[in-house]
Amino acid sequence: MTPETLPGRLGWLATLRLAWRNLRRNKRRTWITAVTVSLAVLLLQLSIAVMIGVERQSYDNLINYQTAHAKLYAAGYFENREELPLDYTLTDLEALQASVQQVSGVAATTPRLAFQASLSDGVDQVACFGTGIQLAGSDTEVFRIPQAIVAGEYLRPGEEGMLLGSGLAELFDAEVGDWLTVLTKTRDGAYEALDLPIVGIVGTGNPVIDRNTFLVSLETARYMLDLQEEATEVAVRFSLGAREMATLRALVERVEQLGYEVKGWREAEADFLAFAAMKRLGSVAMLSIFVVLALVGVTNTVLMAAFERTREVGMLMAMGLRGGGVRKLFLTEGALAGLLGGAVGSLLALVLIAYLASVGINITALYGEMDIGYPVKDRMYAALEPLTLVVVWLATGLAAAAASLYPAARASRRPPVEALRHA
Amino acid sequence: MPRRRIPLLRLAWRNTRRHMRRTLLTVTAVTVAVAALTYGPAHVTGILGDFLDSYARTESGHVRIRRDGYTARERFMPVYLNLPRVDELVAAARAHAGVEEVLPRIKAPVLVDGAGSNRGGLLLGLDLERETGYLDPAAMVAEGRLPDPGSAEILVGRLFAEKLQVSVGDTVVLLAQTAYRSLGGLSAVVTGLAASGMAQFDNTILIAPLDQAQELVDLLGGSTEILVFMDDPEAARALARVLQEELDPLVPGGVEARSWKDEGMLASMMQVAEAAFGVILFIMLLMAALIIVNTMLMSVMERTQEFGMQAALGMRRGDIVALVLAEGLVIGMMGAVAGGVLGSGFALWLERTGIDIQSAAKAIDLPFQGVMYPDWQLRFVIAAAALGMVTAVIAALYPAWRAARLTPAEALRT
Amino acid sequence: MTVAAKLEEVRKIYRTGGVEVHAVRGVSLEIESGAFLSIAGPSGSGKTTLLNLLGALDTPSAGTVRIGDRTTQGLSARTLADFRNTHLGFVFQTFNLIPVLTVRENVEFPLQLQGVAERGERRRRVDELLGEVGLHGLAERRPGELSGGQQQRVAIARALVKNPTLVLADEPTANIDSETALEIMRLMQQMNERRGTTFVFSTHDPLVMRHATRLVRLLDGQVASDERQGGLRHDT
Repeated sequence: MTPETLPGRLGWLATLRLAWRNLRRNKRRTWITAVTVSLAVLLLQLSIAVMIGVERQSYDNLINYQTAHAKLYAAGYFENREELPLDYTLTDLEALQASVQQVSGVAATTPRLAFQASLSDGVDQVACFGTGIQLAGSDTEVFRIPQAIVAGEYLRPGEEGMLLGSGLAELFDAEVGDWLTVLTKTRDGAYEALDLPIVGIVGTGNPVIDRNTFLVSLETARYMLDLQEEATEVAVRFSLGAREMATLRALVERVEQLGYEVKGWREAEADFLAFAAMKRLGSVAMLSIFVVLALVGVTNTVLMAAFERTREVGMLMAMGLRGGGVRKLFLTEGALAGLLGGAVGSLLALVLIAYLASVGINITALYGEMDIGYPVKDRMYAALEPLTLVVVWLATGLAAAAASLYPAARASRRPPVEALRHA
Repeated sequence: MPRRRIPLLRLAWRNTRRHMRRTLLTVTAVTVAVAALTYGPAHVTGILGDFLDSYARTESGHVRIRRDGYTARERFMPVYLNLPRVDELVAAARAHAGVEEVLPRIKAPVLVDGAGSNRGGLLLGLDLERETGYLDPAAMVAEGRLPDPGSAEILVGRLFAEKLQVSVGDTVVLLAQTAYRSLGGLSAVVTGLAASGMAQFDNTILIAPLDQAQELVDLLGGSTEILVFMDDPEAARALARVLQEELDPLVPGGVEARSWKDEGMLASMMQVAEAAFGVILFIMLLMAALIIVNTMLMSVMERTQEFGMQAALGMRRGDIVALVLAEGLVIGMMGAVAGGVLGSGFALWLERTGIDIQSAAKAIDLPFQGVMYPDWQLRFVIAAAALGMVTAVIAALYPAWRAARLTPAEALRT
Repeated sequence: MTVAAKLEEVRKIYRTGGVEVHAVRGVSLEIESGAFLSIAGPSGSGKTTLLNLLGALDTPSAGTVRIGDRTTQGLSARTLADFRNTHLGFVFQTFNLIPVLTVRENVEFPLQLQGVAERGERRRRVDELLGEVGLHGLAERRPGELSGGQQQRVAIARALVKNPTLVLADEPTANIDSETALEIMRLMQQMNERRGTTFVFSTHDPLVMRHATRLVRLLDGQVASDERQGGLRHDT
């Protein structure tokens, strides 16, 4: 039996038709309600798109310039990582990389040597982070530093020089070709100083890199720190389309028994993820107020419609429509009003999001040099996701139906005798 | 002609009570908006205020005086850019009306040698007694006591001490660049550990009496900055201008006096917050207004006959407009009261419990403490309530106009 | 003779604001199949209440109401709804058509509710009835575009479309002019004769009462008189 053939019930099509015509009966009211809903939906869609966009941009930034997908450390390093200690280094690098390379989902690996250092131009001195990177091939397979070179060029294999974070360059008022002194402390506590020319300037949008980091070749770093064939970490990039968590688990299985630690970027950047989550929560809290307002609007409209049509409902019930049918009728009406408003809001949002996805928001103009908490460079872009737009739109319909529950229930509970008597 | 008296508000009140459910629902819209508009400023003022307050106390003062060119090189904390004979400058600043306190501080990057390990830190040389209520080192002492001025003693950030593996009673050696760019050293006894609640601070900080810091960096009688605190922080810009003029000739190389309002980061933060709040406020009130329009239109249309009747009884168009506007006002007032109470209640509740943002605060490089509190103020409620009522009356304009447009005959016929 | 409906010692008490209103006080009535029965009486005599009880819109406080072979007591709202849907038709003083539906859709509506799935079948029955009530040219109009008499014809068609046991009409001519009222009465009579549908209608218009083949007068919620009569005919 199709729903159409159940006695006492109105089929979906008939219900839809009736609800739609009733909405058209009072066009002004329907439109006012739809506009109310559309405002909330517009804000919702826009916020979601910007949020997804900026988070995705941030994650890409972290992965491309700072964390890779995962990093391998010697046991004990991760816990003390903020100190950039030299006491927990990886030694058997080639064997380790070869072993990791076999894990399915792993695209590339590269060793890095992170250390504390001071930079000086002879007048001023500032503490910062140095990173030794492998120039012969592998660092660029994991990280995307060459894409972030804003002046000068990337280091050539064997070249003695540094890539300087753009913020540090600004601080020292230094240009490509200038020399800076790097001061380091070896594992044994001896101080080393080395003058290096600036070969390139790196601007990633990530404050950790731009404001605090300079990059040198792995050989230079080892020389300054008096280390052998050692590294503090092996960074891993996963292949495109690899399942992140599964790959990470496989990675852990592979190397943990060998006494190494593996940390995915999510764990390494737990603070940032917590920050992003709080931002999200804050936005949700703010947006929920608009949603509540829109839903109050829908409830109000359906309540008025039900009140106006009390007698009509009485007649429907006299003809044998059950309470459930009456409820369905008003729920559908509310849902349609919501979908109408949602469509208007979503379409407007689509236009704005498309603009923000291609042109972006100039965050430098908006916030100046302030650290907004997201490692994003110059512009942030909204994420244009048709599926999200549609899901939010449909959810609007559902929420509007939910907002109609109360007036619908009231209308359906009223005894037909009483409803028919209603003036 | 006798003065006409129409009991507008009473009529309006009774009319809104006819469909209590509908009225309440409409009032809910105003309530939600007013509550949000009450809480919103409390929230923003809370975070910003808290942040500004702690930023001013620990970092910027209300006016900060430094050697000209210091700000550009701030990150280096160059001790060679300093203010000699600081007492004169302090006295000059103190002479101005509205100045609450003037505090010289020395800020210097130092290398600290503890029990076998050494690491970089930030030394603050402070007038320890006067700093009470400002940087408030006394309140930070988690263990031990404050150093005594005149003796080589030091307070160390708790996390910093942990990493140096030193505890109260141990001796540490500080190395720093002096005002003349030579290397200075000081051996000091740890008298106490400091815990401020801000991880970054506790991780790097060392607090010494001003005279000891002066000795270390070879800057007797001088400091790297002077912070001026005012009774009215809003007047900081004017004072900064005056101090700039006045102190500039006193220091070879000149000074820069900046108000806390010109700290670039704070200014843009406030601007963005205000712009965002403006947009939110507008849309929220617009939505509430639309809901009111809808309800009142229905209520007006329902009462077509009644309006006709009243018109026949001699009520003028203006009176009908006034009556409908009064109904809008009644709805607005109910929403304003309920929203004001709700928003205030929420704000005051959170003021007591606080909002924990500890985990998230670590990721952002700002001196946020782990818990933030909204700052409820009566003027927020009054402003939100007024906005709610005005919005309701404005929203009632269209329905009122519709009601007034009906002629008695027309109205009675329907 | 089959019985279309039967009331036994039926009472109906309403409570409004703490006051008990005895709207119907002990009415017994047997309505034979095919009757054309008028319930008359001044306002407040219990006409509407009695019709509501007969229409299964309401259940009695005491006594039994039997329609066809079922009593309405103790049935849930949902069962009552289904029962009305299959056995009863209604015509109201204020027509109560659904304004957003066309004439055809209005008449079709009970069939949809009844679960007559096949569209062609629904169409056929609706068109047939619209023809019978003389409205076939107006099928695509909305109720708002029709005169009162036309609207009431639609209502009659809607009541009859599912071939109910009983059609209840509450003051069906009260909102239309007297000439149109006669047409409506004539139409109801025709339907009664042609289809054998039982009609019960209330009225306080003496002209209308004369059309009934049986006249029950109510006074203060009780049957004051119950007479059979010839039933006025207008032959055209």
